[in-house]
Amino acid sequence: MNKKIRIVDTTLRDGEQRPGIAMKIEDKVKIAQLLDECGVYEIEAGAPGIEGGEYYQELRRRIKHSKISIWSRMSMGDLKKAVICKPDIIHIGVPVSYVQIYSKLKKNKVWVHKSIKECVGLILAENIQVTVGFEDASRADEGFMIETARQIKELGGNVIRIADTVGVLTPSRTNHIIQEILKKVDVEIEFHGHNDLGMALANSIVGAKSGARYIDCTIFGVGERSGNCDLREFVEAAGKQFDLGIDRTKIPVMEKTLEEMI
Amino acid sequence: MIKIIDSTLAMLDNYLPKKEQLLQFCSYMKEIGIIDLELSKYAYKIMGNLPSGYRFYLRIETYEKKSEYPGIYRYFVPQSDAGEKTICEFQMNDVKEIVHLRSKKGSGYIRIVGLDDLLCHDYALTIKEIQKIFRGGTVNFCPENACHCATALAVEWFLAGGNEVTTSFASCGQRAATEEVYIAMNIVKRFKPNQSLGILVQVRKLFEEIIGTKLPLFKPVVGKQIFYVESGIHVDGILKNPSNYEAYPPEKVGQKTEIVLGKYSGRSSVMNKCQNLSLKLPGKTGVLVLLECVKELSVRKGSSITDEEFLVLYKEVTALE
Repeated sequence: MNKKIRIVDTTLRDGEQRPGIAMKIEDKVKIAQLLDECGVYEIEAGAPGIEGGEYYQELRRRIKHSKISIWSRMSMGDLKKAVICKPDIIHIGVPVSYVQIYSKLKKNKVWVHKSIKECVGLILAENIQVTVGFEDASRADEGFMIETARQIKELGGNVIRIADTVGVLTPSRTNHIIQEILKKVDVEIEFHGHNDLGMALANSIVGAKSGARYIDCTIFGVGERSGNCDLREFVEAAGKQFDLGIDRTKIPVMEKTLEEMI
Repeated sequence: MIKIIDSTLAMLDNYLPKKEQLLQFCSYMKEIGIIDLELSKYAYKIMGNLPSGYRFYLRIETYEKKSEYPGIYRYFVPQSDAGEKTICEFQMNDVKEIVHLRSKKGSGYIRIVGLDDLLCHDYALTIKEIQKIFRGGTVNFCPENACHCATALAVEWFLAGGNEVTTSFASCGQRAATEEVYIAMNIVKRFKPNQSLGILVQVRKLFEEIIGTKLPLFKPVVGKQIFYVESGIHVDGILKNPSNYEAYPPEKVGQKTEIVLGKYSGRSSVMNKCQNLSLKLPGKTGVLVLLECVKELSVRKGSSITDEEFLVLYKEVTALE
């Protein structure tokens, strides 16, 4: 039996962040329904403050199988907004590279760990599942990621997203990072690739082979800069090796629908 | 030392490129630092006297045909034992076919073409096995792109100790993209770190002129809009320090960061736009109101908003202050 890989589709969050795309709520709901029918495990539907609660209410009414998640910054204010939307999962984006922690946020590692504790605690107290994304993992110190993964596990989190935020990973480096974390910490890995060097698909395939249980994709690979891992291409390339739970006959309709919207 | 043979000029026959275009392409490649170029017979014929300062490669059916194409540095000859100035080429459609290569052990210079789905198998072991078989000789790896992984395979070939790959601009003819392999090696292995790739914009324009169609706006490395940024978090990060969200400076590949206003914009974007358009910055509340107007208009029109549209919104909002 092939290993099961869960597809997380982020067309409605990271995909929509591509400049030039701005979808109406009814369009986003329509795409979410098609993703649900297609067999996507999780739909990352948006971020706090972008759409109001009525959007998530509508999603909860219409989505039959997929889990609905919200992406949030590691900010108590944003997380409180996310909690009100009652998603199945809240994903916290945690910067882990020194360039992001020190240069962008002007904070330090202690602050990162302290904030994770507060944020994960808030979400779990609301009985919402939490996943934590290692932002800019490709340029981060492995020791710090392992230490952070351990902390998350102790707090009750179980899924760590390795985000190649600036899209510089190679397949061998992807394999190395995932294996190193899995060797040291008993967590589940989600892989989130970007296509800046034309390797998002290759890295995602290798990510799945290296032990990631979740792979992030978007329809047409839409997303920031050169985009993310293309859902159809991933299904075509990895479908023989893994049980992806995707009904590939539904993909063309989904692509056509999105094409007409953007 | 690694070597990239760019095979774009062997892939454009259907578009009937002109001599000037082919020569211009050669010149651009040289400026980037690539002087190894594969030609098609058509390109060879059209170009006439081949320009100096390059190493040209040509694929011929048999070793004997070599004399019909003088001036070529090396000839790719399919499945043939390498003779003088030739590179023996093997098409591998399946990873299992690698075993056949064992009988070719000892060949001096070969090219392996294909292996599109290698990444779905144990690619690291296969690459090692190929390099072991031909230890002492030269192997040029030319992964094909049916599984959209050719760039990754070419890069992995280099990272595993391989010295040569064949690529093509924008993956034309289903090969690894020259520009992607080049910049990936530049970032990962500091390959030619001081080389300016600014000319890539001109290469893209020339390529689009030859094929008569535009490349996707978000194509890695050369897409016209890959450095457009809208999301508030990213804009804020880039304004603080571009390396927060850009793997390499856009200027390196002849492009620049463009801050676009739309549904995902944040306060920083609005303030930056006011500054760029030399507009007086509204008060704190004004910025927030302006931001909401930007988002609302963006959703209504289903895309980003233009400077003209922003100016109208700015006037409306500031008139109330």
